[in-house]
Amino acid sequence: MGHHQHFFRKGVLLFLGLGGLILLSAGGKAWAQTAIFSEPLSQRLTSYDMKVRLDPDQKRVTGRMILVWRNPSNDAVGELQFHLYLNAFKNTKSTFMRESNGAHRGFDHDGLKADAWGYIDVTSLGVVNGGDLTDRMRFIAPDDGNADDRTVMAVALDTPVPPRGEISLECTFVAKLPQIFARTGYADEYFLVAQWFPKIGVYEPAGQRFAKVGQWNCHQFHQNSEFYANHGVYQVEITLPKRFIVGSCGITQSERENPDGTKTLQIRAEDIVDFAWTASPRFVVVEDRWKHVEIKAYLQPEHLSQAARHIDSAKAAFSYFEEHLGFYPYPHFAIVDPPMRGMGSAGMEYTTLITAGCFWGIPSGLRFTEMVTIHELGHAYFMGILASNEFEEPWIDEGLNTYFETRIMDHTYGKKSSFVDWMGLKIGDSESARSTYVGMRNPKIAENARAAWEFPHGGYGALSYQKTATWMHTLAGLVGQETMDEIMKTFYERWKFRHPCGTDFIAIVNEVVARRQGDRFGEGMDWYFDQVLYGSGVCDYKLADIRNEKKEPHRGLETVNGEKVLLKEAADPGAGYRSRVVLHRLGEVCLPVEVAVGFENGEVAMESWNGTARSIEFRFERPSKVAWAQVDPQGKIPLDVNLMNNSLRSEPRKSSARGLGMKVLFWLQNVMQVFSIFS
Amino acid sequence: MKHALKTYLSGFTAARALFKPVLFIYASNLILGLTVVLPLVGRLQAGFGQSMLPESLGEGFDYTALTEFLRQTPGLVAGLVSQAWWVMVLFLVLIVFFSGGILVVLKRRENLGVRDVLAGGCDFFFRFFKLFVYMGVLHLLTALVVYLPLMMILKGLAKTVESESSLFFVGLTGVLVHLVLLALLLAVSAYAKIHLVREDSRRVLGAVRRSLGFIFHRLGAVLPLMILFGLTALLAGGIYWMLSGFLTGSSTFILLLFAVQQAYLLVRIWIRVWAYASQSQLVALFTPDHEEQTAYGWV
Repeated sequence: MGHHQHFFRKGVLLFLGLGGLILLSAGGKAWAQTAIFSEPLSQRLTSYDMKVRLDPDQKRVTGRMILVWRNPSNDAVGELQFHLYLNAFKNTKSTFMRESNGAHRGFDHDGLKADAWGYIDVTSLGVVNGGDLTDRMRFIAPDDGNADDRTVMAVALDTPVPPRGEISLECTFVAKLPQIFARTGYADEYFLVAQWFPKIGVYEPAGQRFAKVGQWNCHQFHQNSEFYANHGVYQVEITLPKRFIVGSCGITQSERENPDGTKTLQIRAEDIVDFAWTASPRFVVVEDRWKHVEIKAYLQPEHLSQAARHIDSAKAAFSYFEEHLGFYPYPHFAIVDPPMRGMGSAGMEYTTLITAGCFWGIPSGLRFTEMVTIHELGHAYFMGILASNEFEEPWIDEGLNTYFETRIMDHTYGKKSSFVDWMGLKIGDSESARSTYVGMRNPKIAENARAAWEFPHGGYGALSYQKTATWMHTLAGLVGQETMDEIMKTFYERWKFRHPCGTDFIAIVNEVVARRQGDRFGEGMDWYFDQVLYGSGVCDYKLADIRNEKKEPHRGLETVNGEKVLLKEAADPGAGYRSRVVLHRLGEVCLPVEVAVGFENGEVAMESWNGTARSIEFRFERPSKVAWAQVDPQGKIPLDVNLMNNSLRSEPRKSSARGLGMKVLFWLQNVMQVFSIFS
Repeated sequence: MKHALKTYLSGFTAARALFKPVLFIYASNLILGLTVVLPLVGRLQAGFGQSMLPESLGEGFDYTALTEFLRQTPGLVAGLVSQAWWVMVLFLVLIVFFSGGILVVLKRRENLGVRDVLAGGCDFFFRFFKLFVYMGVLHLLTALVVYLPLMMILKGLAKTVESESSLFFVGLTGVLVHLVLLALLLAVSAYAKIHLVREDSRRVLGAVRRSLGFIFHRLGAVLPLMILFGLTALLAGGIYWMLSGFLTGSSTFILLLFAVQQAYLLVRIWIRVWAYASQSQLVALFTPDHEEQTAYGWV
């Protein structure tokens, strides 16, 4: 904590003390930029300096951008690649629209209106103080070869960027925003300006993640994919009509009004992977603070009564993350509440800016707003700070984040009622997540560790988000919560502001588990990830049988003095029972399991099984019968897809069915009576 | 208001004498429920098997236990809904039948046994069933008249209004309008039945017309009486809610809870018969024959 305070104090001091001035010409006036952090938190391989203007009538952002890109490798890089995400919404030929059939998260694209489509045109591109590259721009489709996709642009350079060198590019662009669809666009006068500028891809040097040789990692925009980028610095000057209220990923350092009825904001953000902003004349801004973080909620006026739901859940998340994962370094955080017609942009994350989502009058026991706020805030860590490749390994950011979301929700609002607690209906967030996974029509449809666009027949969401969260909870159940917390903290500390991949995470799991638990789980935990992450099998243990037999005297012959004689009654073993408890492994996944066995006299025996064989039998000789037995009595393995078969009583208890039947009877009689008013 | 209160109280006295028929109707409600629930309990027991997971379901709501059970018992809910639907239709027809019998014995104010109710029900069943069909069509038309425009208005508004609260209040207004029309139709149906029985008429549509006329001419009495019975039903529901609150979640009081639930259902049927009695007397009050004046002490 002391380290954090010192770190923060230095940052604020510099922020206030005019450290690191950078002067840029801004419409003839100088902009004194103040650094946010005294020391860079990341490598800052990219630096964007943009001057843009929003035309709210035309739904366009026009801009000029100077990009400085630093080559992180020992290669001479002769080509640059850029994401042009908005071109996904240009027409139905794009890979995004082909994959999605024009629908995303339940929102359909209004394809009938020309104004509903979006695109980005790079109108000029050149090297600063160098040659023009405009005619070198060409579109490529590295993922599916779709020649009509315009979401990735490659540019060959006259002079390669030398190893560890840098290049400054200047470009102008026009970004036409689509009607709100898939995270970005406009709805009336609400704008969520996201994935909106030409964004350079990630050049991965040999050895970074899976790269054998230095190469660009710049995927097309897919229906299910999100993003991957280097941490960088953004200096953005936004001009727009005065009536608009603006929120962004950065800190507004100055604001001036222009004679033409517009205003210009100068915004700076550091060490983030993307820059998004929002504008609306209707926003009501509610400000609060959590420790060093200034929280601003940009709410619709009709949702003002729900400001506390957004802010309190954000504070709960910040506290939990700080305690269980790591420090949130940024001094700012923005929560955007989309309007009714902009809900297609709800639930999205841009490290220091998130979109949440709520409706007027939604009861406090329905915690959708809290869940979304906590989830999106979690992305500040999972893909924001721990900048994994969301295209190729969606399970890292979405899955690990969902794991934390469920933990925070259950911790904050109660394990069995954190998601819904309304009119007697109680649903916990982690049990809801598990139910989504185990309730899949085919939970074996794919392995977890696939690229986002490699789930052509479904399963992307449930496997990337909920299955991952469920096997993370199971991992915590196996290794213990303290070990799990150490794993996550180590992962954060070692990989913050870098690009971790799945094998990096597994290496840390192996390291921490070995350090804390020795060889209890064998040599590392690869066996676990081979099954739950790289395999598609399910986990299902069944308590198959309980048998109790009263001890009987042994019968038959025995040899006495060389003669075979009948066993005498003296061989009576005494009173009591011989009992057997049989377990089956029905699924493909093998996990060590615990078994609780209860006897009629109240005694409980705990047994353990490595879970690898197809079946096992536990035998007991006790004074009383086995009354019940249960696999995984403490619920450490939520990955088990069938909890109904996890337990067994030697005698069925009929009262449960009768109790439920009684409830159904009452409600049925009620419905009959209500229905009969129409007689 | 005075007439409403007077018939509300005198209806209570009249309905008290109809306890046996009320019990009979309640028993049919219970038996029909049991025809669905008893096989369901068997299926639940088979589905639960000897698993310990569903044990919590008998006592309270448990999302994981419920979803696990439903996943492992496919078709259970669909089967239940299908059976429940037919049982509801059957009970509806039974109530059409019983309401004729109840109104007949209320008119006679003697021979108040179950047999008399059944005989009355037989006499008036086809007339009442015809009325039920007419009123059903009117209910459907009313719903269409209210909700089709409402949907179009909401669809249009969704493109223009800035807050979903506007949609909510417009939607709520539509629902309230429908509730008022629903209450009117239910009153028309009740008074039409009373007119049919009083006049021993076979002209169902004529009875509907007279019922409408009666309601609008005597709105000062009809409406307060309707409100009084609404409040009575609310009071009964409140008492049940309080009692069940004490007993829910405890396996010790499960039988007591069952008794309270069934008592509540019985009381609701009885309140309905009470309403018929009061409504009959309200009609008699404004269009009495000599016999009724004597019987109710209005002469």
